[in-house]
Amino acid sequence: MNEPMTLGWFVNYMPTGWNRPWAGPDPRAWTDGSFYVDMAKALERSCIDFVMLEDSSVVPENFGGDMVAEFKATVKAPKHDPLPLAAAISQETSRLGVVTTMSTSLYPPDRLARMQATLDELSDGRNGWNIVTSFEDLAARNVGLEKLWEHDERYLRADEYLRVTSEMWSGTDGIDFDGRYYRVNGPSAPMSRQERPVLCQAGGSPAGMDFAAEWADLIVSVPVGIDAMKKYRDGIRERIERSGGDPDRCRVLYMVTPILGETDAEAAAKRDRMYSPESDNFLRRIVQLSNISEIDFSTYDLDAPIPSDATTNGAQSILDTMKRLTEGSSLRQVLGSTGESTSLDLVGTPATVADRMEEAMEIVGGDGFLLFHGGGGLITRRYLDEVLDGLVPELQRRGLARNEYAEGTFRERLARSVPTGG
Amino acid sequence: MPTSPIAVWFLEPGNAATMLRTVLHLDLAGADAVVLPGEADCPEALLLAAAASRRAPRIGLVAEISPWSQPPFLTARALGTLDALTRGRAGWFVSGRDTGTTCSDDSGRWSARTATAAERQDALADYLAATAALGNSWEPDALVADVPSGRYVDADCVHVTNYHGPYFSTRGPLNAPRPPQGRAVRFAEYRPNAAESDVADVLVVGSEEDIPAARASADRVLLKVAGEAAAAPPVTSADGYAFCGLTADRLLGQVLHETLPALVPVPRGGLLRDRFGLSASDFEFVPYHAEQEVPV
Repeated sequence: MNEPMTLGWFVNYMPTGWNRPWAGPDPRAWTDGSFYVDMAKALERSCIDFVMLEDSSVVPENFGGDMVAEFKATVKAPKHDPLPLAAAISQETSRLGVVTTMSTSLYPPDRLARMQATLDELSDGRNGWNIVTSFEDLAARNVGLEKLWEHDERYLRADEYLRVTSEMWSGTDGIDFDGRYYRVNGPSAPMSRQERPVLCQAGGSPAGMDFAAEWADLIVSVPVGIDAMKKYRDGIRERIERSGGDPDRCRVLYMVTPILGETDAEAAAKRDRMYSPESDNFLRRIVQLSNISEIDFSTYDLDAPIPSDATTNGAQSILDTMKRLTEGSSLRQVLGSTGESTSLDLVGTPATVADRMEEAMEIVGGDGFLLFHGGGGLITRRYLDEVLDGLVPELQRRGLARNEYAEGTFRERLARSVPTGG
Repeated sequence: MPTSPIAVWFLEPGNAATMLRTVLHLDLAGADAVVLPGEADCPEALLLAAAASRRAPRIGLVAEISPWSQPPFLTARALGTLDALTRGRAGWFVSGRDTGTTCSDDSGRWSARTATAAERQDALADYLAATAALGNSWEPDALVADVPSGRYVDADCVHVTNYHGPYFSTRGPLNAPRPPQGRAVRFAEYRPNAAESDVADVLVVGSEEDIPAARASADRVLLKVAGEAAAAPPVTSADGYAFCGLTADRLLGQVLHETLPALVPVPRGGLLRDRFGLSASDFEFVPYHAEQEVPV
């Protein structure tokens, strides 16, 4: 590989690992943002390309029908608004890309365009927008909607939404937009440095992949295993080519949670503890599964397979998958062993993990990785140090990760980091 | 009551760098708070306030957010986060003025697009009630972080809001915990019988005659001073001054370096609410009923 990989870090403005060793002195300290501002500075010291701040705006009640389990597991709540945090980070860093997640179903498009234009100015051209359409009806009800539009409709709306924001960013004469879904009149929201924010998207479904191929500069994805990773990236590139675009204009990143140790055996033991059914992470994973599928997994026996006649109003595909996986086994065993939130199992010393990442990039022809502390774990400074002081320097020594930032805006830097694979 | 007059600065629109620089100067000069304008052609106020939160560690940061720009949930959440990021220095300048921008969609939700002035007044009151209801969805001690029981939040202390007003609805609860001040301090310009005047903690009046009427609805009243008057604020029965319309010229320097330090000899810190002598924002959750007024 000639060009270093693109590396980002995905994080939530939420409680840090408050109930476990290395929690730090104050379990409430995350609220004032200091942890995450410090984290952004640490990412910048390590020349990580960007931080991506996640967002959601609900207290889920999927597991057990109320908020009790959610407030033990803290999968989605409590959480603060990532936008003001991004503004604070923009002043304490100077090179790091700062990507914020904003939902097209929750924010009015003119408001979003204006906020992103402000972040562009505050960061001097380092902002990005992680485009999501939301999937929780509770979130819709928070903003006065009865429920969300169905999945494919959300992407049709998002497409028009992007046309509104693009017009507001590029124009100077104001906007007078009368579309199928939106009517917007008023002043433009011209960007100061970038033509538009770096657009990020995580499209897994066909409609999502079409949308991503049309708009995204950066795609984040979690296909599991090298074959699936390659297939996903090829699919995106094909879609871009089919619509007459240049597939090299879009970076595809894979989400991974490296688990590092002094020795491979130590890292493997750590992994086993992380995924053990006895670990606190177990509750987080099962609540998380309930949240993404809107299936109440508290109604099933943890020590039995999911009954073959079980039905749901939530995500049928996830229930079917769990039925298949738990057959002859149990929910506890399956959730205690799968690492579905990560594209590759990266477990070992920094050298072992770097080998694995290098190999994957060579085969997949990929663009890089989006790091995050998954597996049901909550972030700690210790974890951050393991990756930034252990793994990243190993990648840098091999020329796989950058050890200095290039000049220019986030968008310009990303455009230049064309991969050699693909 | 504060012992020396309260000094609040209404910042003029500009580019982000200039506005942030002025906020730093104001922080050093001892101003109690700065109000960031919600104009469409300058940086968005809440983000600018958040950007200043680290470098300007003492001053109150008050953002104008138009109720017509986004649903109450997003405003309540953003202000709560600003309060957390500033450790209790957030304010909200409430104004229903026309921003020159309208955005509506096909969802059937109310929009200010074709609303009359009277309808906007009603809608503003409704918006304020919705944000207040959301702000009280978390009791003050909900965040317990109790390691033995594994509870980070006591779910019994977080309440579904279920607010359904004539213009705005929101289910709630907020997904963020109650911030240091309970809620951001509310500022508004005094207008007789206006929704924002009724609920403001701090009102700004244009003339001495309006002070008694403004006092009847707000705990603190500030007299607006602009131009040469800002350099030598007149004697007033108000609680302090709102410095307005000062741009980068001789007068700005004079007010920053001479007037403010003389007015506020010892800059105040801590919660914005405390330095204005406002009472604590008590927990006031009551289940919503259509016929019942929401405490704001």
